[in-house]
Amino acid sequence: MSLILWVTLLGKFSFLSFLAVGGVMAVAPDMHRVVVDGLSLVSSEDFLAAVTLGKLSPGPNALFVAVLGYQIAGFSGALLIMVAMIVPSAIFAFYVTRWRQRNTHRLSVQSFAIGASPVVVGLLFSTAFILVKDFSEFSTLTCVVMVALIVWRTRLHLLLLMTLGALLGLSGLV
Amino acid sequence: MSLKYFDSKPQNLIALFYVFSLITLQGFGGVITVMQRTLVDQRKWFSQTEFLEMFTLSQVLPGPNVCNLALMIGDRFFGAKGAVVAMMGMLVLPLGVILVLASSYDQVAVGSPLAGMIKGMSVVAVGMTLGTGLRLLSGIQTDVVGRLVPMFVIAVVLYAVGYLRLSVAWAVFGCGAVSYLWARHCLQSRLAKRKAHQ
Repeated sequence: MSLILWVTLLGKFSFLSFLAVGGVMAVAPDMHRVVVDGLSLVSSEDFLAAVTLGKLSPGPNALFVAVLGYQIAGFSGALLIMVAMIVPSAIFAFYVTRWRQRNTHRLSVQSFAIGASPVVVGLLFSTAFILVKDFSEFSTLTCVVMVALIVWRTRLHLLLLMTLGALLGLSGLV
Repeated sequence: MSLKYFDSKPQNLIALFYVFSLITLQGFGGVITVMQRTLVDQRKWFSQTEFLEMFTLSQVLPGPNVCNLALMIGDRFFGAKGAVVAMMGMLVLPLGVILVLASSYDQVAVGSPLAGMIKGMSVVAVGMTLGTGLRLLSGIQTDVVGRLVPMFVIAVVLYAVGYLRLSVAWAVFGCGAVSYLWARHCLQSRLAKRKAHQ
């Protein structure tokens, strides 16, 4: 891969990292436009495989970007693209956090902290709602509601819940 | 905010790295659930409200939001070094896992046992996201803003983003503005009342 292509790719991903309000998955369609349609570095199927891997492996979903990098240029590609994706927005986040810490007495900062929290809770519900629409069977929906109630009301270990989910899926019940 | 939250904190940078690695490795389909559990309920580094405040800021900032959240937490305890270490904790081990998976990945056949397991786990992950939302409800400062307006905001966000599929940015800036102005109004009238008492 030529140097110019690398600079273009990493530059575009750094730029996208600044647009990724609400998480990296929010800009996944734009990434598709860059690596599949624009630079044709990976196929559409590979892109989908990367997203799936990101979902089913532990850790932040944003790691699917590393799989894209891996598909393009192996391990070094994965590292480079992760740095491009994460470092610029992290530096920005760092300074905004510091600024907020120094200005907690300001009315605007306090209003923001209190005012934005219902929006964030609403976004969590939205994520769950969007994903739940993929499920149609009654047993699956029951399982979602049960898990939600357990997480809300009890302190049952989350890995236990995951294991149960895997077993239920294996037996074809959900 | 009760005082008991202030005496529990990570001992050193290694402990910080360890805790975040543990959180991230348990985070299948939603690290935030595990993070809330570990840091608020188990280790009591933060109160529900403090955690929700930081989570809110991390969501509004660009970039992977759980990484931003880790960065904030690390910075709070150990400054810039802590921010870097916490973020590394979130990323290093799962990066290893996902690259091993990527190098051995073949299309998972539909109907295979593995596909079934993944389906079951993703069902649980959806339930966990919902459960975390319900749990964080108690972090909303209803003593300041009441119940009605936050409920309304949550409903509108759910309708706009979940049902109509409008962009997240729209929800953040549109509903956020309304909610912000309401919180500001409530805080201001509180201050005015306090001054009148003095």
